[in-house]
Amino acid sequence: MSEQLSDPSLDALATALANLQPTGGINRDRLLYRAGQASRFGWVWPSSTVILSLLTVALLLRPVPEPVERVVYVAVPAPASPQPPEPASAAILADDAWRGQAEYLKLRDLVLEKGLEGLPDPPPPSPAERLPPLESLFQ
Amino acid sequence: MEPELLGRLVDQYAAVLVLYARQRCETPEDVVQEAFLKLSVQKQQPKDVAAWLYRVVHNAAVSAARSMRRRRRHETVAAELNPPWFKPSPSSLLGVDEATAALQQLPVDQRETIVLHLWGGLTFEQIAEVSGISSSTAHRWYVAGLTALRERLKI
Repeated sequence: MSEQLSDPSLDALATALANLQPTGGINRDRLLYRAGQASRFGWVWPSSTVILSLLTVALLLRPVPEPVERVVYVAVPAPASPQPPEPASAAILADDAWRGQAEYLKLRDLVLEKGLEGLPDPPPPSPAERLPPLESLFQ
Repeated sequence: MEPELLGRLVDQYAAVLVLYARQRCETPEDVVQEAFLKLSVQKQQPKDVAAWLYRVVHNAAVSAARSMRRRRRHETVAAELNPPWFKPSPSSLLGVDEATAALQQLPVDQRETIVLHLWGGLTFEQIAEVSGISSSTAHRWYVAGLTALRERLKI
């Protein structure tokens, strides 16, 4: 394998050295397995790196929109002056359509405020509405 | 690269590449494995695969040696790794230990040239390309290295 030298003793030494077999600490199967992995997914990292780099450059170089200052006038309605709430019964009384229920609502307010004792005495029944005595019914 | 071709290249070159990387660094197996992995993902196969492998291993071994030196500066105890360079062979005229010891005493450029020529089978022109020197310089280093080995081995 080696070229011939002018000195035969050097040639003999070269031959003797070349007969020594180098130790190779390479795990062949592991190397081939890793090579298979590298060739299968070898494109993933380079392509993702390129994409992310391009994205970064694009984001850095994109034109930033100028902020536009606008004055917006919003018509705010004047707050209404506070008025004391009218009682519900008074509001109903103002409407003629609800006048029939006014008496009932008055009584309800009275009961809610003072209880049953606050109710006024009922008016005396008219003679036509007065019931006949109980004894007359058995005759 | 086809797995069969890669396997053949591993069988053919791995041992010599490890010996070559060992001249520069203490992790030659890792360096050679990375070189083969790099070769396996090449889109185009190099024109001269052997020369390509030796060049990649050379660069990686130099880099690994530099990293090792940096690391050692921060370590108080450095593990001395000195695995055998050659397989023991009773039929060989030279003792494995003696040959290794004699080679280790040579300057690294001469050692690399001898490894590339004797075990790698590279011509001096190829060695010149791999090492970035002229072929006459490669030849001179080779002869000087062999002469020094002859004196040390007393042949």
